[in-house]
Amino acid sequence: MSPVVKRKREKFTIPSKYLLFTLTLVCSILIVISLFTPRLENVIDNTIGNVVIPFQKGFSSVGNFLDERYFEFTEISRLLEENDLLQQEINELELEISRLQQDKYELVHLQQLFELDQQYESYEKVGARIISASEGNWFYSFTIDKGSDDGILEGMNVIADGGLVGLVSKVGSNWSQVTAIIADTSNISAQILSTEENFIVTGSLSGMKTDGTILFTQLLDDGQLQVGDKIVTSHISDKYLPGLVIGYIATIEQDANNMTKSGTVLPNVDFHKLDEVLVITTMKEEIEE
Amino acid sequence: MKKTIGQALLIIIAYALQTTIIGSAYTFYVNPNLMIILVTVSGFTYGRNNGMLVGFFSGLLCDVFFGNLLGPQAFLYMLLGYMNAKVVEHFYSDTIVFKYFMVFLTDILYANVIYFTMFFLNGKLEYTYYLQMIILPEAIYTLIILVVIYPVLSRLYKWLEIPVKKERKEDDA
Repeated sequence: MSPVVKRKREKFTIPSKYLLFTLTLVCSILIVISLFTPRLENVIDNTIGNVVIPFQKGFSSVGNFLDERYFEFTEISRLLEENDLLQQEINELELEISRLQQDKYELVHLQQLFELDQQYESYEKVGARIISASEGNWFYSFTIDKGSDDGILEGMNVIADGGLVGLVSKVGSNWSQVTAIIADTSNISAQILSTEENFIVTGSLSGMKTDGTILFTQLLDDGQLQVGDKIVTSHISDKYLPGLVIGYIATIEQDANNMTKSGTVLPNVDFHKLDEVLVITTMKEEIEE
Repeated sequence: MKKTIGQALLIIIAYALQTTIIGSAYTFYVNPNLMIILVTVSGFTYGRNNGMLVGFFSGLLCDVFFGNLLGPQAFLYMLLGYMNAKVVEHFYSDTIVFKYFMVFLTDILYANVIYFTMFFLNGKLEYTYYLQMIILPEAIYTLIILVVIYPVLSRLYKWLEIPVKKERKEDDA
């Protein structure tokens, strides 16, 4: 038998079954509280947030610094080679630019038709930095360094690189939590830009792991649908502002009911390299059309 | 007192590390689970009650920053801390390999509970896929990290247990 280490008896020792019972009770009370009274939950969230966020900010900046140094170190030689190649390309591209300038007039006309460009610019935005990601491997959400002090509210849309990133799902005083569109819990009401057909885009962990895609379902289609079609948020969504780019159709499959189609979507945002995002402070309810 | 403050700091630091430097913001690959390491190791060095409390608070942290409800993760981590410590006490085992094995098992159990409650019931039925892509890699990474930091962590826990004598006397007086 292995040696048993003798420990000093402490003054109060609660039998562990009572502690187990108490903590279970506390957990269930917390669940019930957070289900019915979001205000009390906010108090708890904010208190804990204020303790933990400074640590996370510190570690995050250290991590960023190390990341950047490592990146610089590994990339220098590769970049030098690339630089030569790019110089050649520039010459070729300059020729192409003159050709493309003609196409631009057509593009501006089309953008006016969709009224996409104007909408994007009319939304008020706040820049924010990502300070931490969700703790496990199962869901994709992250914390940003702006909160209710900066005017962020629950339900605001978050974009980056001109594409939809997610939705603010919880707000603290100096932090807020964003649930990304690629998380399995996200459902977005979307539409195809060209046909204006409405359908649902759902996050997918397995899709993101294998080929960086998320899923779409319940799309009615009369044969016009093509791989590469642009997907934006729809007008009928109650959470997302209309006309934000989600991504492009990657694969299409016919559903078993022979009426709708489903498949995968390639998101516009590169979720692997996300460190700064824009929060749109205009809410869906505020838009007047 | 020293033990409590020390462990509280450890939980916060482990959580901050988990969500930033080794978190998915930078790598997006499977990450080791530091919280499981903390809950299990504190469970079998200080006993069931301690494992439960550490589990409860680290789970609560996860709940605050992720998830719509406060409580489910706290409950899960608390149960894991309790069960883990209970098993180790039951076997009276001080073998290090046995402890490593327990951490490995606890992590797999945790991942399975998350999968069955949040994914399986949500219609994502490809269990083998998630087993290969997330559950097993996570457990193996956690095990590797554990083997590296266990000597440091166990020494730290022993040091935390030595009471600060001056403070004790002042408290009594």
